[in-house]
Amino acid sequence: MAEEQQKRNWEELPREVTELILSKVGPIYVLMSAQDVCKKWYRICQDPLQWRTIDLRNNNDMRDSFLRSLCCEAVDRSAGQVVDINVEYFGDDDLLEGMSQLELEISELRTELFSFKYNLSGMSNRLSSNAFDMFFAYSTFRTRYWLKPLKNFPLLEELVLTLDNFSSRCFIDLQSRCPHLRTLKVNRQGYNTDVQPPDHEVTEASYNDVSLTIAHFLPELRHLQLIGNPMTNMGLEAILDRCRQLESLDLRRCLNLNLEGELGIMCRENIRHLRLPHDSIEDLGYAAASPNEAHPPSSINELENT
Amino acid sequence: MSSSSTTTTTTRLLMLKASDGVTFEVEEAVATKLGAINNMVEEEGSEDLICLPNVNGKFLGMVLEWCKKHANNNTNSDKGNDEVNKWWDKEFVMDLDQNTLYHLLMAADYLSGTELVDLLTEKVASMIRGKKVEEIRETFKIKSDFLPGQEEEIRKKNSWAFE
Repeated sequence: MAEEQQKRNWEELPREVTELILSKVGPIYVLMSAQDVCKKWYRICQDPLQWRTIDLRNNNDMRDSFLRSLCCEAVDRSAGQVVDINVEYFGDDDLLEGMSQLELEISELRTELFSFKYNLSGMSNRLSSNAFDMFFAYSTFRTRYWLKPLKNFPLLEELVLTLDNFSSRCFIDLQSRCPHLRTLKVNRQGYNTDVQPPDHEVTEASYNDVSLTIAHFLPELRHLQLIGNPMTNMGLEAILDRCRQLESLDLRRCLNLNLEGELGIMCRENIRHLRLPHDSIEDLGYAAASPNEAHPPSSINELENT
Repeated sequence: MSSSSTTTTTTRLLMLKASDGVTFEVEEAVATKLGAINNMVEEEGSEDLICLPNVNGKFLGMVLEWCKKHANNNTNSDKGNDEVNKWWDKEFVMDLDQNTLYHLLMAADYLSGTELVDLLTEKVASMIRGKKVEEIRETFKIKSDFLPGQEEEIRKKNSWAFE
């Protein structure tokens, strides 16, 4: 036993095991402390390949400005190798702008085999109303700038937006700008804040704004997740009608839907992986960690009764 | 797929010999969860005794215990088994002392037990998250090998993070 004690030396783990450990530690604690432990760890943390995935989700106990500087540092270190980035809950206009510009720089390094997954979850409530228009304005700009790469490279395959309020305008024309987009997740976090004041005129069309726009402009989607979307049967019908290649559809917490009738049958028949409004959302992790979960969202019917 | 059902019914037993001479008799289906052993079985074919000079009996035993659990849980493949495996994994790593964790990780890596390496590295990562540099060094008994001054320089470079 004493011999084993002596032999234990964490610095002597094979490099790839240490790399795996540090990538599991995640960018926040790597940058805050782990990288400074010893030379070997420091060197590993300078390797761009170590930064292919940048997941900055956290338990909401850190200042947003701090997380934003961590994010910039992490993106910087990736030197163009980043394929998946998650800035859930703290992204804002400036960060988006910064990342868009960084992307311009790294575009040249991309190869045909390189797929890009751009995860912009959780801009949350604090996002100013035009930030998304801005992101997509940047995309437009990039499309012009990157006309060739966008046609030849699978640039954007998956887009994840976790937002409470944004304009459905960002889906207009998205397909032609991101021809390889196959997975779209548009999830609401504080979905029960959807309840409008009683005197507020709510029309069915406004509930279906997002679903109708997606149905119309993104018929090529294979995977669609719309957690907490206020759509009614009207919106879902449009999606089923237009997006004929859908393999998976996640309708959890879409509580304005009534799937007891024919529409429900149609869903079950046509969609291989279907999640229903009342299915468990436990597996969603941070994205679903809504403090309001204890109070189920109101439906239109309840609204009308008030 | 279905034609192979006859071969799975006869379970071949392998003898694994650890560095300290301890031997384990294991079903092939269990041992081949380890990439290294799987390769040896495929290469050498008929050889039933496999010597593993880099792993001692205690840790080989633990690795095999893990393999056995996962091989058993995977045979009746319904959805609930994922949960069972997860729960069992949690128990498995919960009370590992650091010394065992280290040697087990070395053994799992040497034997190419990818899933087990995954589990153990996550455990190590969870012991690093949230700690300060000094606390990490203390936990893992790692001595700073930076030159005097070098560390300060790095700290200064990273000082933006702590403003």
